[in-house]
Amino acid sequence: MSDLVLATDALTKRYEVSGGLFQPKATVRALQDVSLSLAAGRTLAVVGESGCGKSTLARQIAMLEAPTSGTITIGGVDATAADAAARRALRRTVQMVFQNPFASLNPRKKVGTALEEPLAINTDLGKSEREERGRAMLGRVGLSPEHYRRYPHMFSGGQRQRVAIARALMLEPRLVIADEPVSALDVSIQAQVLNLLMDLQDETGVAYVFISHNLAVVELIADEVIVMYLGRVMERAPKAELFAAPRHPYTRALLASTPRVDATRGAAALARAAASALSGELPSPLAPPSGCVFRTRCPFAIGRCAEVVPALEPAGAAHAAACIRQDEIG
Amino acid sequence: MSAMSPLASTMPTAPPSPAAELWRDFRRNRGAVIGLAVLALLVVCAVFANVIAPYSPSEQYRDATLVRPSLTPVGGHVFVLGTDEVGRDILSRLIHGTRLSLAIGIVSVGLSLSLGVLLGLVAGFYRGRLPEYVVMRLMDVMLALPSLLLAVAVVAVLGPGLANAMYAIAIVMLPHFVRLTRGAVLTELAKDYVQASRLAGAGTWRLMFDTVLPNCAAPLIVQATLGFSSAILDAAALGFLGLGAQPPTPEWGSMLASALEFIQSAWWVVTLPGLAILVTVLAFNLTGDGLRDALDPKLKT
Amino acid sequence: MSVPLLEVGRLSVEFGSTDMPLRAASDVSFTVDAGEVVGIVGESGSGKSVSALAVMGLIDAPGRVRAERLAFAGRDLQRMPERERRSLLGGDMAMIFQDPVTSLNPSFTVAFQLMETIALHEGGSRKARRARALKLLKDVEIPDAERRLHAFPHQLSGGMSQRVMLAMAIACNPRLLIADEPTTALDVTVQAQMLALLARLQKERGMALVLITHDLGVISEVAQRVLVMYAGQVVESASAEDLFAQPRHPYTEALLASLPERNAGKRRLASLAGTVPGAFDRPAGCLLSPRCPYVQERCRVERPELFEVGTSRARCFYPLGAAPQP
Repeated sequence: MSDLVLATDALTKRYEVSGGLFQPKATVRALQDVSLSLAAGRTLAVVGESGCGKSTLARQIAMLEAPTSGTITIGGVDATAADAAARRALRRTVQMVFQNPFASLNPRKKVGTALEEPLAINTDLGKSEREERGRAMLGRVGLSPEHYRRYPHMFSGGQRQRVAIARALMLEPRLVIADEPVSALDVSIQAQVLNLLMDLQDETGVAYVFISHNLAVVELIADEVIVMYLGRVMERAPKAELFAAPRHPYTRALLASTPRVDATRGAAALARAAASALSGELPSPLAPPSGCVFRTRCPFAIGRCAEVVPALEPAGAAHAAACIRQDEIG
Repeated sequence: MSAMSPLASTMPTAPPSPAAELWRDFRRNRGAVIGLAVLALLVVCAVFANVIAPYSPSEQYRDATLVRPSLTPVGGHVFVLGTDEVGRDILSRLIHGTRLSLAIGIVSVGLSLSLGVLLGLVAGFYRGRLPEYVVMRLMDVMLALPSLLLAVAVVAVLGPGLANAMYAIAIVMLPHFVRLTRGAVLTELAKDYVQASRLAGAGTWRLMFDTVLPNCAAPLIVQATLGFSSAILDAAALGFLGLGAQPPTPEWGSMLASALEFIQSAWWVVTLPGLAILVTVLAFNLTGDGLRDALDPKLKT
Repeated sequence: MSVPLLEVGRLSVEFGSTDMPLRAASDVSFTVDAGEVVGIVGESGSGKSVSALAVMGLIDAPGRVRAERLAFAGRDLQRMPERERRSLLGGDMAMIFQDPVTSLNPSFTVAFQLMETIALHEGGSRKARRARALKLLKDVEIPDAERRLHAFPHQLSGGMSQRVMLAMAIACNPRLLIADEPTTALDVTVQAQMLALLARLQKERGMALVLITHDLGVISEVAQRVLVMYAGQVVESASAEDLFAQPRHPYTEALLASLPERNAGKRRLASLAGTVPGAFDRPAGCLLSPRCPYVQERCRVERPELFEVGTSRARCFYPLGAAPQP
């Protein structure tokens, strides 16, 4: 479908790390067989905890690193097979907003200069035109014109994040990867920035890959959700279905662990959280468990889980979960 | 509970530029300001040496050799700081020597800094690959040799003279700048804003010089200031060994060297150039320290 | 239950010059009874961490701490000699912090750090202390405790390090534990485990727990009473039930309203415009007045006190769902 802004097929990324003195090199399987697709104007949320590979996935899609195997198709163009010139052209299609607002802006550049940089590199626009566009974009994200010539250290976290969003939109990309864009912000500022992101999506039709560990935020902003664990996709579903009827044990554990304000309170709430809490620890990515990588912590694991790597089995129209027991768990 | 409205500015109306902020922080350090004032004085001496110096630095007054510093005229001339063994006015020589010392500092540090920054950037950007390996091993070799010996070796190859001494000093200082730059580059490369520039399409060249280098400036500026003082000391040492400036050049180090025999009989011929070196080096060090303190908190913002 | 375990009366913490001080916390008053769980919620700049540090006596110069009353189990902390106060720290009063990675000394093993804490407060032979350390690790549910005893902090995950820090804090059976954002840096599944553990320990040992966080969900699960802080002041104090059902202060209401879960089905999150006042733009009247949707003239000129509103207290002249203050 040409309407697909992004599609990945069996995307895999492995890193080699030194095992130590005189030890052979070890392999970190950061991503394994990740396949997803995203249509224009929609939001795909990538959910998972530390070590699940979501940041690696972001870097792959943004073409900051090359995958070990698999393909990434951006706007119909195969990014993995593209040469340097084609990749440079693709940069205009994919942009990224980073998590840490205090590290994502160049401290030595004025905000206006940072906004103009993408235009200076990729277009032939003259200085005054670049400035005009920069100022327009700054206004669009809710900052005032006098901020244009200021340095980043004079802004608050929320304001810096707005600048980062403005910068990402300067080249009018079709896809923006938002890597935990509001996690470092206060709750009330989170609301402002999330509203901004949704407004901009309505105005420009940009698609988002929204990476987050906060399920409450995901429930609000996503159209479709994929849940990742140790580099693999555990479940993929439209948002409403995922939250109403999760099929994978990990998704269920995540949902149960998220503290919610309007749920039961006090001892009952804690009892529920404790009961649904996962046992054990995240396995080391250097030595993932055989078969299903989640089996060491899964309350429903059986012997066969160690032998078979579960594929994503469909569980509904656009819903799929990687669990051999998903029908039995109910 | 409005949805979206432009945020009111919570900043003061006209925030100070980084330069103004730097000056304000620098000013607080009394020692640094004094150092800067002395440096300014030295620059004035260097620029207007011809005007300020009472006599020519190479003019020999045969009838007034080894005259004590005093205000009483000797043979019709007043030698405020006395004369040396061939009758040259020490004050004039010191003033003209300022030119040479500052030139040594600027040329040596300038050469070393430029090449060091370039090599450091290459080493940082091509980490784990051949360019980094080559550069860093070369620097390791250079650091393994005692700096003075290395300088002497270079001058021995190139031949004595002030210009060659400056090249030698530049070479000796090189590894420090390379290491410093590489360290700063590696720290900055880990930060998101570099990735953001890559995403905007920046190529390696732009990333090196436009994105990363300005953020490494602070430690480099401080090192350069301190490098000035060590350059002057090294030049003095080389001059002392007879490998730097050759007579009759009024370079402070060689003035010291040629007058050692008079340390008992005519202390002013030895002590005054030594004092000049001391004051200059101290001024550079104070200024450098003040700069580092003023720049540091900004790095943490 | 006659004397509260912890009494804080009009605590203020200031930094900077005396003529233009940065008021990190001002007029903070609250009590904690033995065995109670109190939550302090606020965003950055609200003064919640600074207040806790001040109570523990961990604010050094150039910070200035002043309070009308600061007492632990009836003993005046401000009049106490330095040594006595220090012996309370880690003994009867303990604190754990947000980032476990920097809170543990990276150069020493877990065993060493635990045993050091025990030695400082209780003493005992090496063997006895080691046994205690092992028992503590098991108490905080660290799997494979024997092996973990000899690990270095960098070999532990975030959740494990946090548990070790908790073990160190409860080593001497404190009567009061202050936890400053203990789960913020953890994954959500680990967070659930951690909260369950904290609750269990609190119940078993009859410890009072002061939980400082910005996460209202955590507060709602764990706390019995809640204090809401804004720009260095306590703006609302209520039981957890009352707070979530009927917030009295507009800031509390805004905070709850901006939660994604209270905006389900809507396209836009309710949000409060503007930002928290910094050091130099503090309003003359109520600190929320530039942003408050219910602001009136009186709010802009007068500073409200913490008034009683039903069973809660709110720092507002026009508390929500109640009559305006006279």
